[in-house]
Amino acid sequence: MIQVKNLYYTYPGNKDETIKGINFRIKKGEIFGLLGPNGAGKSTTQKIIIGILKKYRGSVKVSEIDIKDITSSFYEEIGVAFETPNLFNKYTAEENLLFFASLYNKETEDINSLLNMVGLIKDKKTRVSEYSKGMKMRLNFCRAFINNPSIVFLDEPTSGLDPVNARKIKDIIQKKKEEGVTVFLSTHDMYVADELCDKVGFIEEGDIDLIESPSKLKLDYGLKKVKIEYEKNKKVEFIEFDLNSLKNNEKFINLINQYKIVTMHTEEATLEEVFIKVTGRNLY
Amino acid sequence: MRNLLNLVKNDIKFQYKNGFYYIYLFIAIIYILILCFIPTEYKKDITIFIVLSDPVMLGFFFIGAIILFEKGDKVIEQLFVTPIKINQYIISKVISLIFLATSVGMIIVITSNIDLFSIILFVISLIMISTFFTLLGITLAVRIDTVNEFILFSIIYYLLIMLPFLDVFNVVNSYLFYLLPTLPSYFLLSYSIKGTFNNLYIWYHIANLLFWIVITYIWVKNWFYKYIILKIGDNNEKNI
Ligand SMILES: Nc1ncnc2c1ncn2[C@@H]1O[C@H](COP(=O)(O)OP(=O)(O)OP(=O)(O)O)[C@@H](O)[C@H]1O
Ligand SMILES: [Mg+2]
Repeated sequence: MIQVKNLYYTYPGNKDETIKGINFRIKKGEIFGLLGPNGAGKSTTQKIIIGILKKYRGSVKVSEIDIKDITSSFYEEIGVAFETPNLFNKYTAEENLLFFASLYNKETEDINSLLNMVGLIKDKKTRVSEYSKGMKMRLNFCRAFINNPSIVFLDEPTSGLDPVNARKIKDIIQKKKEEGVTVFLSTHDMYVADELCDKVGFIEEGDIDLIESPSKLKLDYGLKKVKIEYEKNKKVEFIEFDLNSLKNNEKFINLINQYKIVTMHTEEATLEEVFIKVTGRNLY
Repeated sequence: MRNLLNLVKNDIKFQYKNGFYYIYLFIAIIYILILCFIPTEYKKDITIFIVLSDPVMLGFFFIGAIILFEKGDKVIEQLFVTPIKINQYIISKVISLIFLATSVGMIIVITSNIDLFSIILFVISLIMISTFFTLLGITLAVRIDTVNEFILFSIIYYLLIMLPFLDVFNVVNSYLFYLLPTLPSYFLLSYSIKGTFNNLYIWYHIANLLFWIVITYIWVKNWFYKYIILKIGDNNEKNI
């Protein structure tokens, strides 16, 4: 669906390249997450793929079409939600959606069902200027789906949302994926990426160091240890074992035979720890 | 075409919802009141100035404020990830302001009981003048981010625009002033209101304005790309 080959980009007037030769492929119906710290080049990459920044080097294809050859009909097929809400503050939610719907030539999504999806239906007649930040974020998010896009680009879709609403947004993204929508996500929230993405790319200083599925990454970079909490003399104590040699570990076998086990967990690496290991730097 | 029509409709709605028409109504009433108190022999001369300052005002302060408001809402960048083209955006802005300038210009001459020499030339002049000044206003609007910058630069622009009047008032005389679009705008309106014209000059003035419209259009497109499109999706908060 999206294919990026040897992409280089320098902003007009800048000396150094902002994007330094990145490669990746996103299949149809996949959720791809571009992860990286501030200034890594996530938004720049996204802007190239959505056809806003020209004069890049390399090749970028979306649905087999070279981005260099796109016309305005390309925008009939994609949805974009930027990180900060872009809404007419003096309009109601409904007026905002009606206006944006009027810009497409194809049939657009029903506005009530969009508002319903993000829990804003009862506020549809309220001016956006009276919305809270989270409400604006949700309205901004649902607008990305107004033209039934086959690809959506979401920049930090859950930032500024409470856990309940963040859950709602993540569920919608998952549901859209199941309907066959391809999702390009930029974020520095590793938990969101971990939960949603089929594949993540670590970008840092304009370079992608690694592309893998989150579960594989966590396995590959995991600590491979098991931590056991057990009850001894009415007190809870803990001990760690190497995961690979449990079978022949007498201490481990004695422990589970002798004591009451309270908890037992493998120590998985978080995506954030993997990122730090791979790129040698922090996300923030 | 349908897109453009929807954009124009929305521009008018946006201007209305943000209170621009009320301000404009207020200004128009002041103009009309001023003209009420002007003796008949000067009335046409004053009308020329008032009707000229009208599209200048709209093109300048209104387009600046409108785009500043849109920047505040951050909606411009969202427009350009829909099938909307830069041309359509610019043309829509121009049409919405031509509509306002021409209707207010007509209202002023009608309520002040002025018999125009040529209504057609009057309307054509207003359309060209407001097109030019709206485009010029956009070149400023795309670059500024704060009200202060806006005020500062619009004063500079304004002084430059007014400079050629030094010739009309015989302070400094130079044919060079006639290269700028200010005097052609002034004389076109003057002819359409008072008559007494020489065909050759009219064609020069029209050609001059058309030339400037084309030049500013290209200029607007360039700066629009550079200062709006290239910065799309930048999440730095702008303070207004
Ligand atoms: N319009 C521009 N002109 C010049 N340089 C720019 C422009 N926009 C971004 N940059 C530079 O390009 C680099 C990458 O920026 P980009 O916005 O792509 O980062 P990001 O990964 O999206 O960061 P964030 O997490 O803050 O959103 C930064 O060093 C930034 O300063
Ligand atoms: Mg960014």
